[in-house]
Amino acid sequence: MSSLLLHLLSNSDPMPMLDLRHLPNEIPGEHVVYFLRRHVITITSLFVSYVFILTAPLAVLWYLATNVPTISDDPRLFPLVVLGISLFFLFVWLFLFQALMDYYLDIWVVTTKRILSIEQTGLFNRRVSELRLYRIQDVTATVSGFLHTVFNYGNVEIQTAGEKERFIFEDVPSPNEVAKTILQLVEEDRKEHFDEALEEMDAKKDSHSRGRHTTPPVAEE
Amino acid sequence: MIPLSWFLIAWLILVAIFALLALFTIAINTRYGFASLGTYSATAIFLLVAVGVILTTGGYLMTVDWSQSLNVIPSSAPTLEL
Repeated sequence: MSSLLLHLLSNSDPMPMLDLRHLPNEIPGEHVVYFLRRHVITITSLFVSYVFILTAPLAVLWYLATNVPTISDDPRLFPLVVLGISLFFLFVWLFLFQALMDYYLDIWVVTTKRILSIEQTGLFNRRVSELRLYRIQDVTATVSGFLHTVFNYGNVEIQTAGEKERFIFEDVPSPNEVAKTILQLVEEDRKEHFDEALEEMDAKKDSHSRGRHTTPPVAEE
Repeated sequence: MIPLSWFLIAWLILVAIFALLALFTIAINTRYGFASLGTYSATAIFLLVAVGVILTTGGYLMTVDWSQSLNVIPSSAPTLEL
């Protein structure tokens, strides 16, 4: 347990606290274009419900004060009420902080060279993905639903050549604008990596044609 | 009759569990979070409120006489008389 905490607190990790001035594995000439999180509205409902839950102990105290006024004078029962309310408040406060942290640690960074996706699920689950812009083939923005339309937030799906998995920016603000900017950045980056992209395309063509040749001919009846 | 101090011990154990979870949460937040004033201030607010609640509760609990016992079965319960 203590070694785990020491590891968490030490600075030996290749990707420590994220700093926009010093991104992990920084590429020369790279500039941050977008720093995205889910839209604030996605966490508002959770936040409001936690605030209601946090005020519940006050409601219990008010109920006890009005219906059982002698409880505050009871030297045995009142300490138990205080113990219970303090524990309830502490754990709800912790869960609220963890929920905020879960929102806060999910980040998508778009730079002039690449896209960084950092997703935190729970306390001990963290996924960091990186994608070079010139490898992107398709960018789709989706705004679906009443709240999404009113507050202008939605998903941006990024598809790369040959990759089964997609990069998805979930519930980010102004997805159409983000998608448009990413496509522009991809075009600019592709010009810089023209030769590399050509080689990749040739390699793909070769593998496709080889795949066709190796398929067995259909038997004639 | 349950000694009142048992409840205090249970409270202390649960507060210790809270402290451990809070430590992990803060460690992960400050280690993997985005280096900004927001990260530090959110962590500071969380810590201040949590410490404030524990100290206030602790201050009250110091005044309680924990040598008492709690009777879970009320003495006014009907008894069978032969």
